[in-house]
Amino acid sequence: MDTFIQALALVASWEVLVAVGLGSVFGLFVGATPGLSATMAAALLVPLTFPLSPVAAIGAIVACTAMSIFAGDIPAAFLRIPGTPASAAYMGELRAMSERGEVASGLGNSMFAAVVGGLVGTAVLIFVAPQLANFALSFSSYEYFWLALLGLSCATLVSGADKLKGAVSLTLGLLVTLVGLDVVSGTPRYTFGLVDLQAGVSLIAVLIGAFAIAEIMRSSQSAIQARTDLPSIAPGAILRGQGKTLWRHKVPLARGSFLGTVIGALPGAGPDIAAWISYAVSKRFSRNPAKYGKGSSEAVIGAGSANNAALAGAYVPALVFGIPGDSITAIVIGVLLIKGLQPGPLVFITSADLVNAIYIVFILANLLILPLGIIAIVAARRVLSVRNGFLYPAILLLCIIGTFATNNALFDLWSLCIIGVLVWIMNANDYPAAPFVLGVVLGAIVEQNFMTSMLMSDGNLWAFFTRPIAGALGVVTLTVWLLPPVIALWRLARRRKHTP
Amino acid sequence: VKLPDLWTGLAIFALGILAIVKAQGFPDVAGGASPRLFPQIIGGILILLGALVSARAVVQSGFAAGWERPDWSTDPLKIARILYVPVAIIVFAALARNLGTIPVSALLMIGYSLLWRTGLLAACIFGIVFSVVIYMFFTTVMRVPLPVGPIPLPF
Repeated sequence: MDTFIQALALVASWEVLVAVGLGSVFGLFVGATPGLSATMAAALLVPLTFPLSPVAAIGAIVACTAMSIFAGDIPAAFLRIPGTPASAAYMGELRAMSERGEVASGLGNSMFAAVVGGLVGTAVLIFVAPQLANFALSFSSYEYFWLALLGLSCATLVSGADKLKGAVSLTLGLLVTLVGLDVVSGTPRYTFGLVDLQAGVSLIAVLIGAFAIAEIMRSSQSAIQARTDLPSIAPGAILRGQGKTLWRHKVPLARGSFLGTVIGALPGAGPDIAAWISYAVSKRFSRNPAKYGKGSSEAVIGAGSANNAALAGAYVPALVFGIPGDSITAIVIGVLLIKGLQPGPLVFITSADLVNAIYIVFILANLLILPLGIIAIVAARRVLSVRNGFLYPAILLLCIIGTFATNNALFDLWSLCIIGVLVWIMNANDYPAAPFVLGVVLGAIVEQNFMTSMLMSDGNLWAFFTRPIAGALGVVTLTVWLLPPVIALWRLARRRKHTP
Repeated sequence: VKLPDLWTGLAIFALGILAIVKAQGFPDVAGGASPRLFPQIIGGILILLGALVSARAVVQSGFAAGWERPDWSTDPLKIARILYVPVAIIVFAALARNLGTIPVSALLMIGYSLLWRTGLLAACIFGIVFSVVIYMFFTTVMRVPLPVGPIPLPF
């Protein structure tokens, strides 16, 4: 109880409340702007969180991402363009409701579903994470090595249609972490004689380069969009009848919330995957599947609850094991590392107040969706009419100054430029960015635990399998690696057998 | 720029070889924790994955596949907007210390706004105002020193 009160005191400071408030507003703006993602919002926030306390920094990111995931529904309803990929699953439903003149009701459905989903995800985080952390206290470097590798492997599996290219992205990320001083011996590696590279490639440059600069370059390829006239919405219309609708669809709401949390907790599977799966499951078990695709409240509630729930679910592996559940938690882990905090089971003992403060911030951020969400829906006409000619130059300047300001190092700008161009080329060739960033965030953890284990076992690789949990994790990891090529070969052999 | 998978696979393959060759120069300490070990593993994985990407491309489309010309490559304005992003970062890195954050930021913003077909006056006003606001935010709220340049600022 004392820890909870300490956490409450941490959150109740002006610094945290202002950071959460501003983070929320920023998240709403970014989420409601087509082409900008929640991950980009989090990446842009990183340099701004530099002078903040860890709670304020994480609070700003939590609030920003929760808001932006919901706000992605706003352009989906008005323009048929999802603000973030997490809204794409049920965009057709929102648009159909909008065409029927029910845009306020549709966005009200998604707003309340986002709040409930986020709160359910937070409840699971509060109850499950400490239990898992207790269990993880007995882990040694062997278990952590396999766990990190398993996280990276799963991230590759769900990275997109092409798993091979996902694996390449991940390995490139791991290669980037090799730049700098070796974790064990302090030997400079791949520094090419540059002193600036001895500290490694700046994590902030990687995050902003991969998620913001590459995105600006991708957006620069598209045509300039004409401005659209949008209908105005009264706040009362958003709230009208929401209680009855939510109660009528309580089962899809609960199912979407729990499913989203579980999917979010899987490494690599973020809010967008959670929303797609939840939409499909909701349709499968619906009494009125024929209404799906034609503006169904049930569909919006089922999938809209899942994406915000997934956001909280992703914090379970991130806080307990230091393994990011998605690209947003990869950024959060990066911020915690910059603040000198190593996520893992020990953080629940050494910084219990911080962990509790994160829970409180999650609850606060999700509750804030209601008032700020209503304002965002009402103000959507203005947000959606911001010209690209103002938006992208502003983001570009934020990226440049934010990256420079973090370490006051002009060298980081070169890293920013190279990573941004590299990820832009990778994206254009279907090599996904998220595994690359996960590789950069987790690379040092993988190598450190691998080297520690090698030192402990005097180079004996069999020792990685001798402890029960490590052995089980090792077998699961190897199965994750070997199963896709084995299945592919089996399918190929079967096809050849059936071909005359 | 959509390149053939054969080429990207070969580039990854070459990067893996380069990583391993460079790793040979790292000292090989006694015991299992050599600074060479992890780079060699990562290099090896890159070689394997690069070979797989190339091999798959050859199986699917043979050796003849060329690079796809992207839609934006026929529009000079789009090309300029894409190139402007990395160039702006380099220009800021090269000039900010000598000319100051605000003038360099404002010029970069005005240039990029114009490439998005914003009017000159609107681009100038927005570029200057936003640059000053961002500068003041970082220096006064976040207390991060940014290059001032040769002309002392009144704030």
